[in-house]
Amino acid sequence: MADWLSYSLHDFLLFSPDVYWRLLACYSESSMSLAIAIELMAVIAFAYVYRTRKYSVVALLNIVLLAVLGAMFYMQHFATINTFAPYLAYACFAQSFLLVLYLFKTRIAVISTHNDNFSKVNLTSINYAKLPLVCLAVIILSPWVAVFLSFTWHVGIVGILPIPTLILVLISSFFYSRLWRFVLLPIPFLLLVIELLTLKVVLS
Amino acid sequence: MSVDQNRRHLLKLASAMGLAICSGHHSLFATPLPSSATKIIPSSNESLFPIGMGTWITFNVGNDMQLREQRLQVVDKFFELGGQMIDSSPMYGSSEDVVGYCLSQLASKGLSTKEEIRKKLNNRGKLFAATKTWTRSSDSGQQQFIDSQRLWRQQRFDLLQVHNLVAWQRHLPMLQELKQQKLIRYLGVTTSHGRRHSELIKIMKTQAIDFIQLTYNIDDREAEHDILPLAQERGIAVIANRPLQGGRLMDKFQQEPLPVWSKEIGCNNWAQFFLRFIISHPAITSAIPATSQVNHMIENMGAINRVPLPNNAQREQMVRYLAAL
Repeated sequence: MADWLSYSLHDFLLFSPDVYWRLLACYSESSMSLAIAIELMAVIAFAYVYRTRKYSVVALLNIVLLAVLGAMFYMQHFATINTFAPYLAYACFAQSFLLVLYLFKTRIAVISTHNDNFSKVNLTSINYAKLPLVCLAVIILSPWVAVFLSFTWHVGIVGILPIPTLILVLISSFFYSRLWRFVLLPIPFLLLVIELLTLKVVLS
Repeated sequence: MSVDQNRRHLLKLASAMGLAICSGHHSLFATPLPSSATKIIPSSNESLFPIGMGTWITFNVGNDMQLREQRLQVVDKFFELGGQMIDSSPMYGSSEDVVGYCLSQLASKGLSTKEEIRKKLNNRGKLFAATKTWTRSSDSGQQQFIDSQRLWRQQRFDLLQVHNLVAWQRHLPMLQELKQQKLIRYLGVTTSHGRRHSELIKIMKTQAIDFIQLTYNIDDREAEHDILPLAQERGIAVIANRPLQGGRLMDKFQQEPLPVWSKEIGCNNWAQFFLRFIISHPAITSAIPATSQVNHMIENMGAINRVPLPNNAQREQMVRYLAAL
């Protein structure tokens, strides 16, 4: 028991902060065109969702964002300095797979009911129609928030770097039916906690 | 003295100074260091330069070529100043790969660490490659060793250690086998942060090992009570990791003045103060500070100089001085 108490968060950080920041900066610069494409795609997707209420587009977008995050960031770049990064990538792929299942299942429900507004959300305090706008705000404002917090704007790019992507994925979960939310919330929540703890240690 | 003798004396002085300047070593490398500047590995009587180099965090730089080149400068300086032991582990991310990169780059520049280079005037250090096995199964341990060979660009290692005592019962027989195959020369076990000392003692008493590695420094002297005396009794070499407490000792004390008697004990800076305390313990074979900066490497390696290592009274004086700050 005493052994476990002797561990601190720093013991789990395998790299120095400057190496981490350099990795983020180099990675986001090298994937600039992809980042711009994804940001545009996300803006268009949520504008489309706001207009048409076709919420299946949200799940589709999240599948793309998580697959890119897992394959590009965790597997190809973060894994070069973090032995455990591949497991984080697998978590992203697992979440993408769950979203595919969700789409498949709910699409069958849509076909049988001819109703594409299949996300049964029951929010009492939030105007459901404004959720796409919230997501749009996250996508557009994240880079500016990063700069405001004295980071480089790269760290705020949705779909490329973890924290803004996972925040968007979590907000998007409000589009899913209540039952599916329980299934689809844990993985992005856990990933976001890990990323925030990493940030905490890197900044300390 | 005649004019000729004066001239001869002056010429000798000038050439010695020139050699010292050219070698870049502030401890006048032109003449050999005293024998007390090396430590002996008990199981073989092999001598070893007591200041090695750790690679935890400092060498985990991934594929960043600029950072790799910086580490190359650090390793080059390490060998130039007589360094030998480089310690790494599969747990340290890309550190093994970066070490292998540095070694291969030095070899390609003709700056080999192999025996023939010791003939050079500056007595460049001969590599003592130390890595670890860090996995729960013995099959994965075999694969990890193969991976280490590939990453280090080395077929043979001087020392292979069971990292953090993970599955040591499974791994020690494998290490014995590798030793018989002459793929490794020594085997050992490691722990750190004062963890699992009772299990370490059990291993030291019951297993045939050549090395242990544990945390020992002026701020963490727990090992002095039983482990270090046991290591001396059993003829086991000891590597001290975290000699600067992960940099915390430097952060805490480097703004404080060194004691007025620091030069008497061979210390020009705080890094040398902390390192000389460690290696002055008779049970300690090597300390492995980690750094990513060339100037820090020079400071660390300066802990080995012509001044005799602190004796027991001086060691206690060092502890008292620190406690009073």
